[in-house]
Amino acid sequence: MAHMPQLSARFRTASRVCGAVVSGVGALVFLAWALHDERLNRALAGHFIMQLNTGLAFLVAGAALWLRPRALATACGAAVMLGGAWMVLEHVRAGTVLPGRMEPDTASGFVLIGAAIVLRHAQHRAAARAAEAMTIACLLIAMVGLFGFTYNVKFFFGVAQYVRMTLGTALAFVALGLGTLFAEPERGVMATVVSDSAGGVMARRLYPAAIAIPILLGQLTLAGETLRLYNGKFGLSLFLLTSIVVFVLLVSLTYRSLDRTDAERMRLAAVLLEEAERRHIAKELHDEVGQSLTALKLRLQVADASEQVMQARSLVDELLTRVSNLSLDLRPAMLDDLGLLPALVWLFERYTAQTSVKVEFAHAGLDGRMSPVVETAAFRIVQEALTNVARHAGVPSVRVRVWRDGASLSVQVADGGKGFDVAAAVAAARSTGLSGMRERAAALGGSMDIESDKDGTRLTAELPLPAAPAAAKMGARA
Amino acid sequence: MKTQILLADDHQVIIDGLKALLSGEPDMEVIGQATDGLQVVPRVLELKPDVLVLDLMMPGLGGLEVARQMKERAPSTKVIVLSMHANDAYVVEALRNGASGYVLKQAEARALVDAIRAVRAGGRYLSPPLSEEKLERWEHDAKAAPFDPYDTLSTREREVLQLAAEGLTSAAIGERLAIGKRTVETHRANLQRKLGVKTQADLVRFAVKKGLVSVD
Repeated sequence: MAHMPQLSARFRTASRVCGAVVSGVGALVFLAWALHDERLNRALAGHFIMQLNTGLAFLVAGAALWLRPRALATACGAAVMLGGAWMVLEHVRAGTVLPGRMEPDTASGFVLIGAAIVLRHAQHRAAARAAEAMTIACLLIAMVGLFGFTYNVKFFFGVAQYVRMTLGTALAFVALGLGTLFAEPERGVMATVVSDSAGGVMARRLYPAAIAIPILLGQLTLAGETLRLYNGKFGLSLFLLTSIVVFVLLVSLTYRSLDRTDAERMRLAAVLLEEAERRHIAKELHDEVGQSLTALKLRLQVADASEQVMQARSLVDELLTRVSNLSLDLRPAMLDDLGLLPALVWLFERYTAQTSVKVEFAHAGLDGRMSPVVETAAFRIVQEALTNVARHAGVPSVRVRVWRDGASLSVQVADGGKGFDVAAAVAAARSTGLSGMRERAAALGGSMDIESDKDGTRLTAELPLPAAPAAAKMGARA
Repeated sequence: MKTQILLADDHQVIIDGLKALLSGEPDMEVIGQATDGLQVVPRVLELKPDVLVLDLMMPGLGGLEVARQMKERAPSTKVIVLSMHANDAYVVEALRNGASGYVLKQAEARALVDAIRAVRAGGRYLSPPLSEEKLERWEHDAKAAPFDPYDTLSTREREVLQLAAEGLTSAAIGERLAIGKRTVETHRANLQRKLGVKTQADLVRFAVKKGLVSVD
């Protein structure tokens, strides 16, 4: 499973931004306290005043996300964890929720997030897992606080009496939790989000939806209730119904896009498998069958020249030619042995002999070998395009251009034929050739483009050449 | 004096067949064999044959590379390539690497005997249907023919080139062609890469040279 490096980088930046915002909130609380500014404090904390020690903890915890030196960040995390633990202990020792202290849920949140920050760089798998679990637990605590506020729940009895978090605190915890997750985008649950696999596509689509949609629908349901359009129980069923509809739709949409990706990958795998098989059989025919026939021929050569032997000789010659042609048809050996240019020249010679369509060939920059996968793709694309020209264009000649500029190899096959409707052909069943070519190009990170009108058809494919080998690159960096 | 021959082929059946074939020639003598590409040059240096009959496809070290090393390290031994590859590209490549003869395995078996005599006499030998004329034609077909990079532009890229050379901005070009500004910029980057032009001035110069825009 490969990661999308740009996306990872964006998450790392987002992590530092989250850290900075959280630290900023903490600093504001300090400022409000120092200036004795009640209004500022209320603005920060919603209905409840944010405790001074809460602000301090946010300042330090946020710093753990934007500070670059690891040791410093870990120290910040440890401080937050210990501070939170001390507060929790005070409540526990008193046996009740002490007024005027850091709320028990807030304190637990700091314990969790502080421990997660300390553990997040751990190489040990279990430790990294634990860090992630604690971060998510902290996010859940924050969301309970957030929902309590947005749905105006009164927490006075039962378990709910421990939920005391203010809006500002809850929001800061959400930022802190997300920032901690984003800091290591290639591990744990985040790895699925930055993955370039089909699973990654699904994760990027469904995670945000799974979180945002219930919140949004909940708010809408609540708004309807407030407007007295219906009562609470009806609101709940409405919420359930809309959730079901939205998620079913989302799953079906995701299914379609995953299904398409999957089908593309399967077709490509089939193309590559076929190529490997062709290479194998072509080599087997040429090397094994061909050599045995050659040996047989040499034996017959030294036998007496009776009529039977003469007939056998000519049969062997015919077989040798057939085996050799069969091998070339499957996959021309020169593509592997000598490179793209000789293989193309061979192809054009044979094509003209078979179809009477002349090939005007021009090329530039083809000396030396290129990556075998690029050479194969270029060869097959030209071959397929030529087959289409012979079949449909009705022209006496076709132009093929192949050129290499620094980073890519391009091929172009142009005819002055009657042209065709590209979109219709791609949609129709006979397009397997076209989509096969396109997938070959796409698999290499390249592209294929067809222009067709009454004056002819022009197919252009561009195939990026892999950069210099990794070893050379590493050497250059060292 | 007999012509001393070394046979190099990874198939023992072929070596045996060749030995049987050449044993009928009174002026030839097989003095050794090699079945691995890496063995060939050391064997040649050790036995100093007059002629090496070499298979192109050998494990260890390919025949082409063996021929190239022979040219440097044992130039007095003539090399005849014996191959199933009838394609001229292989022949050209083999001759370029120093081979004096190229004999197809599907050719008349006598061809090898003829080839050995010919190269021994200092000549070059190609077994029919190979011929010097065919090789020349191949070299001609494969020669890099310079072509106008303008021909490789798509219709859209030509339109963008024309308007860009007339001095329109990407946004203005997008409006004229009813496509987005970003799309125009992509076309522009692509056509500049294809034409190998870096700056607007280069682009205008190219367009003037092509007669797309006039200088006034």
